[in-house]
Amino acid sequence: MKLGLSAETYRWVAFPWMRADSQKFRFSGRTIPYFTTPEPPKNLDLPIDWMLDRVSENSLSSLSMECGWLGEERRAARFKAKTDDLEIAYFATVSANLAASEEEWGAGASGSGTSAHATPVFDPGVATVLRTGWTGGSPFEVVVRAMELASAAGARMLSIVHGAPDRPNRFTKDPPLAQQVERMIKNLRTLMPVAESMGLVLTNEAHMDYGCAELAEVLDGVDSPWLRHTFDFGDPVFVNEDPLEAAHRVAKYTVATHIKDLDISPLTEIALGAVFHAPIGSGRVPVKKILAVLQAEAPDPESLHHCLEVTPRQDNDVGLWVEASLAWLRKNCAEYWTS
Amino acid sequence: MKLCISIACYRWMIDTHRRRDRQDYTRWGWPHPYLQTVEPPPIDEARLDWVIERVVDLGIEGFYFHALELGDRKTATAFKQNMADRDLTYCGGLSVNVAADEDEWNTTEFDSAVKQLQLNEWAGARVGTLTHRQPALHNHYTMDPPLEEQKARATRNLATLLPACAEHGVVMAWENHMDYRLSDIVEVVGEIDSPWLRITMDTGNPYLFLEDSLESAKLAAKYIVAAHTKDLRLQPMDEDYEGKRFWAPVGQGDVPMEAILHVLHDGVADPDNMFLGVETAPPPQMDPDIWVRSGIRWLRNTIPAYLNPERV
Repeated sequence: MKLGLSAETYRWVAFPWMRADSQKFRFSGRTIPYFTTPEPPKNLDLPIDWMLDRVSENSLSSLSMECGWLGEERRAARFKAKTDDLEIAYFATVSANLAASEEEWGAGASGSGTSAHATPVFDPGVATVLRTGWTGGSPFEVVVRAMELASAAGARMLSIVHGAPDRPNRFTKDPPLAQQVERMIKNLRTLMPVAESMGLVLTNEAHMDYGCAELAEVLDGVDSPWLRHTFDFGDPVFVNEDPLEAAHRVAKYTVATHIKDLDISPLTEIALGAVFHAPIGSGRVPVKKILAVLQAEAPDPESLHHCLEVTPRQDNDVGLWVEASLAWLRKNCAEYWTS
Repeated sequence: MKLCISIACYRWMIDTHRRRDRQDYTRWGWPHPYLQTVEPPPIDEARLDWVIERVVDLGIEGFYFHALELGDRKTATAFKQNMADRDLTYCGGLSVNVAADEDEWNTTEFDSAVKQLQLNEWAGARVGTLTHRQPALHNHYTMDPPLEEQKARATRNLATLLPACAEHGVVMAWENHMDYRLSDIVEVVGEIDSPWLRITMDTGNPYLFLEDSLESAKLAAKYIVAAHTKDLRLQPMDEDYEGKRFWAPVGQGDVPMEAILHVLHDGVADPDNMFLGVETAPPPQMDPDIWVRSGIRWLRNTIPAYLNPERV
């Protein structure tokens, strides 16, 4: 197993549309951070090289990052050359509505897309805290375009995340959950021939939307070696799923992870409980037990990358959290790391 | 099922330390309540008469609170008479540190529990919902001592109370109360296996422990003698990426309430006498009475056949 970095870790520091040092951020009503590290990027460009610097600085082996940031094939190829030089493995991500209806999904009978929309592109100008920057095209076409970019960038795999405010989740009633699962199976099946032709593995991932119980149903239903799973150590909590039980459900499909920890306060003054992000090892997620499950049941634990996704609120020092999380993982889970 | 409410529904109006009309309420930084439909009791008056009036007005069968509030035999007996005069049922309650070590249990908790059982009897309760008194110190997530040890302590401690329960004719019904999983409680109650120790199910609290409410109901049903219908809206994704839980009026949230009520009706030993208490405690700035009435209305419309026909 190897340790990597998810770009989301630095979302409040580096994502141009979320940066806590921006004038726009002050209107969010959130606390402005003080005394935090690391230094944000010098400009408002997409912080691709900045992220690679964070990977190197922390002696990590991989980077998980939205492939739309790469924009076009030449830039993706340059990124590939750089990651090859740095010996950094790339795990691509993209966001798409997996539970779209057949018409919305837009694969068409031939599986080559039916949309009359413009070619999908990632536009940082339209991205917001919870909204992807992809515009144009149907969800199918967005994923196919992402696959092209991911392939050009030499990605190990492409994780398709679903959760977003304008999409259904396991608590929404229209359509019912069973139908959402059916749609995900049907939609993902249309991508399998494309994945095979590109030699690119796709993954699904719990993303504050579904539990691994539902995603395992999808994996079983699609039943293709081109669809695997990216396990998120914390996100099952947000849909009331025990992360350890979740790991058991999808371990046999898991080819990458986003590793994080959460603190759960069951008793609060207004009797609702609360969930907070925590440095890894300080929260309630049974990280060591989950690693043991993945070591025992994942298809190839040796090459399993755990990309650190430590995402405190913006007023915490994410640099310190990363440092503490890595120190804890390297000290307490040393038996798992092969590099 | 006997349709009741939990006194917690009005906690922000009537709990001495929480009342929204306290001088220091603003210290909490919460918004003020405006345009409320009911007035709280005067600060210097006991709250129970106020609640009795509400319960009569709501046309339900009774309410739940902890007997310790009654303090002594005279007050408890007067309360019992007051309830009987209005044909109301007292759903009793008591609180102890179930995970106390042997020393603490023998020094304070045992005697406290016996006193509370006695007060419950004097006040007319046949069932006393048992809540854990140290949820911040010992709960499903705390490690000192580990959960298994906490359950072993609870098994040992609660077993010592069974003779007192029999003497006072009060069944203790341990509630999942933002402290343990219902499955933890089922384990202990099953281990002790006594008719004097049963379960009060809170339908919302399993969500704080990553436990499915419906599955929990199925697991615990055979032990359940009371239920608190709490509904929550679960928001898995938000802009802080922390997810949120919100109170919801009964029947309007994400707790599969109707399915749970069917499971309870079919699975509990005595559905006709099971206490079904609305427990909806919206944030302090909201109007609890509107929420309570909505919950009662929803239950009456959704499960009329399960409720006492004279109170539907």
